[in-house]
Amino acid sequence: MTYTPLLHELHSALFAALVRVIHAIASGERLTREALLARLPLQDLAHTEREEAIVDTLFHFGEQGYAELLVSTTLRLPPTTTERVWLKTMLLDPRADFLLAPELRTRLRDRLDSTLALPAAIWERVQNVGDSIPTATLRTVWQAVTRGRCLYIESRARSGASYAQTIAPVRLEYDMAANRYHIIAYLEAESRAIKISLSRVTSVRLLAEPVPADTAGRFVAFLDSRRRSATIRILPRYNAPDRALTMLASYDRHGTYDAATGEYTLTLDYYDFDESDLIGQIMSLGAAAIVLGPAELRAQVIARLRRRVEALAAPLT
Amino acid sequence: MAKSKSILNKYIASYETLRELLGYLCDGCYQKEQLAELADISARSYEDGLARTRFFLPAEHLITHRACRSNIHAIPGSRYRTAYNALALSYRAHGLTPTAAFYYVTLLQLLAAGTPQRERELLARLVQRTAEHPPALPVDLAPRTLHRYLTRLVSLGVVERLSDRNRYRYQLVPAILADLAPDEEREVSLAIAAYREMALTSVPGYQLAGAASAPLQLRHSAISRILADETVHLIACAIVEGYSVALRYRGESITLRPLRIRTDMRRARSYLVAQPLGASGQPQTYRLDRIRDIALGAPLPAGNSAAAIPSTAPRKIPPLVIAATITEAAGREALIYHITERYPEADISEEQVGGRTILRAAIDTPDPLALIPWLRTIEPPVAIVSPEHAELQTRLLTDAEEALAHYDLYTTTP
Repeated sequence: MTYTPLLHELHSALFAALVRVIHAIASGERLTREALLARLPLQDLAHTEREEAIVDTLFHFGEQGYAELLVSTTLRLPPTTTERVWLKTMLLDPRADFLLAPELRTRLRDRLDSTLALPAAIWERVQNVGDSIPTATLRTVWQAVTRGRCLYIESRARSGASYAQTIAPVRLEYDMAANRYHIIAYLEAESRAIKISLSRVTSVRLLAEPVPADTAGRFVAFLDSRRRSATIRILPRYNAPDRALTMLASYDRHGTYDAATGEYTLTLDYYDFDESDLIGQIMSLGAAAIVLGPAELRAQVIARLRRRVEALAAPLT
Repeated sequence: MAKSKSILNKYIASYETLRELLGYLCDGCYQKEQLAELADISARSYEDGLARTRFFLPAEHLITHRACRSNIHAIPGSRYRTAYNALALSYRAHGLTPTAAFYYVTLLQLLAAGTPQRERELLARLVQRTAEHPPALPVDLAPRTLHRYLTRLVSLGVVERLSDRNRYRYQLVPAILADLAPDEEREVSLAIAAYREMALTSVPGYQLAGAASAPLQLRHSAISRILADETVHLIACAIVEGYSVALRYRGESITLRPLRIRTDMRRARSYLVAQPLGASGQPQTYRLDRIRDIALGAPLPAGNSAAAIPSTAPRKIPPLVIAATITEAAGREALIYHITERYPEADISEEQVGGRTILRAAIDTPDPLALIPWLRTIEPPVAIVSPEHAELQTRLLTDAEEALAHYDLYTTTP
């Protein structure tokens, strides 16, 4: 596995544009020099010397001014060694079994017979134990979300009660920290989305019934309606700012940094159904994090801090 | 070609040029001067980096807000809408010269015929084609130049070099994903688009499947993880091939025997686990985002593997015992869930004390202090009851009291 950088010429934006242009010309499209240049990523419209030189080096322009290929075939870029190793690793990774039909997986693995996969021992993942979901269940859910088909599921609530329903799945959710899977489905009748833990699903069946065409749009509108914003100040205690910036990196956010005090003020966008998760993250930062707003979130954090002080001040023996 | 010196070339040769700046932009908190100071770059370099970022990232992925009479730029990090990570586009910033473009394009086209060809044959065909259809700008058609670019294609793995009685022939490697039915092609593309978010590195997945986006929603996944892919890829190659790595860490140049990559998904942080060359003892961890200028070092002596590193017996520490009063069944279940999802081997017991139900959990951990952030999150709140960890109990209490006091000092936002 010879090392070559991931950032290289064959995957540069310019080369990718050239591949598309050559494919277009080989397929019979007629492009003038100007039309061809317009299809390249131009750094600066006033300074196109580099791109012009590439075009003039690669193409012959006939009497009518149309670009002609020096070699009249389309351009095929096979996967690099790094990509083949990556693909083989995917095909051998049991976590990815549900993503491909077994027959297709075997066929691709045979094609990569001489390619080595990355040894699994190279990567140590620190995450919660999570769920052990049967591959067949994950595969059925994956087929439903990728093919836009409804699912019939039977699930068991924490109380022990069983439920059966037909749902229109919109996404599969994977929690990297908890190592858990959820189905996200949109309920047309109730105009809301629900999240079902796959660990609670006892049976799942792919239906022929398609997910309504406008479900994805309704789901996005639902997300928009549940969007909230919180402002948090992070004080420079121990490595709290560093931890906070990393831990809260999965939110849309912006903020300010006060170089004189070392304090950060972050405004995070979150969804109200994720509020308990956000509160947990704020609590984990201890006295280094202060919720400045909204008032309801602030009140919840204060209430939890009071309960913690009470629990810690009167220790149980 | 006349080269203008007045414009910035947004294409780069090393990802290191962009990585640190993009990391700070993901933080989304810094004014120009602050960011330049943190990254130890000039204001001009900051502007250049920002111009490159603007060039490669779609506009909606670089937002600007005003604060303290300055512009602050941020790269949104939410993964709710799509699993697609726009930062992957920054890995397309490599430069391309006209000569390189000419050789790569024409060689790949000539080799697409399928028959293995010699360098001499390839050169002759190029000479013939350029004579028949002269490009607007002449190109240097020389055996050495052709050899250099062919060798580059071989090193990338897209062209194979076949030995034929001391003469080399070249051919394209088989296109693994060719000849698939359209529905199979789509299935593979979606599988790659999903797996790249769960894999050690995601950039090769973006290079294979491009703009494909999977209906996968990720939680607790920072988009900035992709910024370390170049570093992770080099480390993985070094481990597989048995090479050392040389790098700069916190201002020091060090050479290490890389052992593995550790990703802490709960903290969204990745580390290199490695042993300094020439040192004995246990391996150390190095944060990937703080590693600079990494390069492959020398081959490591055979047999000098991770297994040869002497392991020291872990320090025996009494288990950390936490306890909480249970007032309702839901609280009990939530507490057990919270503890066992992280420590499934925790020894959990319940007892009645003075009419109250007390739930206890004994946790074996080599570093109880590292559990402080997690202990703060448990609800209903827990106390530390193992006497050996009384200091931890005091720290948690002091911290909670200070946190409450802060809420009197800091008023709410309007």
